[in-house]
Amino acid sequence: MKRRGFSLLEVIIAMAFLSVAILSMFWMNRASNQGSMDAYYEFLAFSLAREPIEVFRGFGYDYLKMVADGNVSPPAWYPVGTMKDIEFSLMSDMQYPAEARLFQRLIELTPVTAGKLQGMRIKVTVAVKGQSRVEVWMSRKAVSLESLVMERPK
Amino acid sequence: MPEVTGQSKRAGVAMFSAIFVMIIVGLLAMQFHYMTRQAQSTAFRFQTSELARQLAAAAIEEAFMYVHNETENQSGALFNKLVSRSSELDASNTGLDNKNSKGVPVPVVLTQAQAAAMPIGSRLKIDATARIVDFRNTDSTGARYYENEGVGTLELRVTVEPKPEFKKQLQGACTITRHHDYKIVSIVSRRDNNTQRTSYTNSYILDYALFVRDGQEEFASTYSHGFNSQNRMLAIDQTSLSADKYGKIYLGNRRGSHVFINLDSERKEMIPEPQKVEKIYEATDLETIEIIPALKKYIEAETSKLADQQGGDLESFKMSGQKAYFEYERYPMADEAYAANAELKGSRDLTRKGELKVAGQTEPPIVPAGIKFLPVNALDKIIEGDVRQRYFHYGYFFVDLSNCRLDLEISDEDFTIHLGDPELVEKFKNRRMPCFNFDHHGEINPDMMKLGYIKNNIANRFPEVLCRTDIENRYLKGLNTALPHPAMFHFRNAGSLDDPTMASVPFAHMNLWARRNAPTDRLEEYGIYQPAQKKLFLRGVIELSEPLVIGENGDVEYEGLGVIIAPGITIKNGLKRKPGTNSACILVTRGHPIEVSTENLVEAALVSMGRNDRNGQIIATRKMNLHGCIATDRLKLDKWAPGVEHRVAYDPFFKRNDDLYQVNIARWVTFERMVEQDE
Repeated sequence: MKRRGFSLLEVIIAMAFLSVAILSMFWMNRASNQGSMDAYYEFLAFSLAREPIEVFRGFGYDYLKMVADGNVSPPAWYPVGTMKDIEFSLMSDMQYPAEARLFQRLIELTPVTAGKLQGMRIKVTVAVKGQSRVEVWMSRKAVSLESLVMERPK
Repeated sequence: MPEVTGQSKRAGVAMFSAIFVMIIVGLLAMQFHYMTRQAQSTAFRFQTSELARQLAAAAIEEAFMYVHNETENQSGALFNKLVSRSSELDASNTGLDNKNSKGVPVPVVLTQAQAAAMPIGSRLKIDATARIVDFRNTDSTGARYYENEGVGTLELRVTVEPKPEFKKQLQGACTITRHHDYKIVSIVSRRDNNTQRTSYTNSYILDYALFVRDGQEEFASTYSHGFNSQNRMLAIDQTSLSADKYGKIYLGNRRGSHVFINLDSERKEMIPEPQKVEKIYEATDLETIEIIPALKKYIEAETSKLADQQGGDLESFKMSGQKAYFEYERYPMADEAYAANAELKGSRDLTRKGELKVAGQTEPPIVPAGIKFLPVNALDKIIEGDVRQRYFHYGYFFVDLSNCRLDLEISDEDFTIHLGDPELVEKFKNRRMPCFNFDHHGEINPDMMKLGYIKNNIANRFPEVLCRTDIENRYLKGLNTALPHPAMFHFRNAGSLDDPTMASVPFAHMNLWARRNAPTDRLEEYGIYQPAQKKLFLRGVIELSEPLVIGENGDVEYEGLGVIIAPGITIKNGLKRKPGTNSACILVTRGHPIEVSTENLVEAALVSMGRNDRNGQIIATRKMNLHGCIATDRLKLDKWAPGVEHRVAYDPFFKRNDDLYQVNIARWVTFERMVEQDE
């Protein structure tokens, strides 16, 4: 008995269905992968932005004022006014996730006043280093976070 | 029916397997995608939540600083609500369920401006409120603080949450609650000059232009030289003030005792009227003869001679033409008043010597007043306690026998005798003979004057004929009314106290002090005293652990209401209130001196008192020009610069109808709670 095969049209239609299904899954997978990495790097970048704010809040207004006035230098880990790579090694005092090297950080201090109130605005911008793999995954090129440190009575 | 072979069955299995695998892979891919979306959402929420937290942290600091700054302003709304514990924000007696109904909004403009500049931040609403959650108006012993004074806890609460229109898009909110302790202290408290205080207040001492706590002891131990001095003068001048603004003066007498100020030439107008009385009493012929033994002897001799000549007895006797009166004059007490009259000075000295002998005392040379109070016409409105004036009451017997004649009748024959003894006439011509107290001296010169006779026959009826140093009169001009004794309080408890040495020290409620035991160099660090800028910023009560020197670089300008307590204070240059401000500077030592070594104007209250075992004193090493007031354990004028007149003009700022409080809010956080909400 001769077996009946599939016609070419049937095969083409089946392959079309299969292709759509497989491509959809590939697309969804890729998008998921992209989104996961984006979320991860956003989280990392935001954490890197938050860190100096917390440290500077601990330093207090008076110190930040001196830094802003150029009377003292900020700690080496937290350069102010310039976009700097986040560099560290296994021997460094400060340790970050390995991917932190793929970012640069800009810390800006701006005095603000309202009447007798005096404060220091801290703005931290964390940007992706050029030609790094983060550029591929992260949808935004930079994230920023701001806060205020107010003068306190002594 | 076609026969189904085994190969055909396998093809069906493969197809179903392929479909199954694809379904599984598809499900995994969908799950992965779902998790990815979740991760992205989480990352976004994290950012929103973190932003809310950062804004809340900024806002709570700004709210604190706003409250800190506003509570420095005595006329500010927040200051007054806090001091008066307005029901709007006082939740200290409110049940837990209703505590959130209390609170006043606190502006956080800087944080809001920063949030508005951020994409996500502009969608967030930032609110801050302040309220009182606890307040204690008694100290640990149960003694109640003055009026609105006390220690409280202020709660600041900041909430950052999405604005209503973005609540569906944004999920993330943060609430921070902080507690700060605060203190309310009265720096100047109201006082009506017509009534005494009824309870202790930290600043009661500012009622006085001059307050000498241990004045009675100083007076006794220095034989009055604490307030009387040969070449030092402290002038308390209030001539420019109205009566309700006078600073009181208390020289420290205990109840039932007094202190006195010697009247000198400059203050002789204080001597009570009449300062001179002629003829207290006119002596009769016989009294005159009895008082003057020489006259009696002469008359007896003359009449005896005539009687012998006439061979009869003296039948009548009449003396006429003489002047014989008891009079008095009142003179200042101090030596310098007698420079031109050595005889009068001798009378004063002898009088005083007799009084001291009877009292078993000694006294160094009598010196002029060391203090003067102006205006003298209003001293009854200024002085509290018993301050007497001391002057010399010079009682004497005036006699003039130059025109004296005796009409005698002997054996029915009249005779007239003119005093023929030139020595006698000369001796008793316009003669003032001081009437010393027989009880003090006995007979001093029995040939001249019979003090015993005067005592028994004249002074018993007219006491004012005798010489004395008078301390019966209050140090008032034209009055001798008893003045109220100041109210003293023991251990900050209500209830008057007789002994001023036991009285509570000023600013004794240390719970209300803003800072304690601070080294001097911290003043600069805290921004309180800036020697280079010559500025002093005062707020509340500060206690230092080291002596303080003010004005090393020149006159210092101060601003604010405050008290500095230190173990020794030296003022090197002027100290001036910033013009147009409600500022007051009160410098306090306890058992250590305050030294003023400048002639420049010092606008401050100087208070050196509070330790019985040490000597609180104020020393002016140069001519002092103080606009304020002085309170001290002992005045010790002998330590002050000699040869100049030190001047204190009472500052009417200290005598007011309202209380001036200061609020000190602690920078320390006693409680903090942060609630983040991202769902």
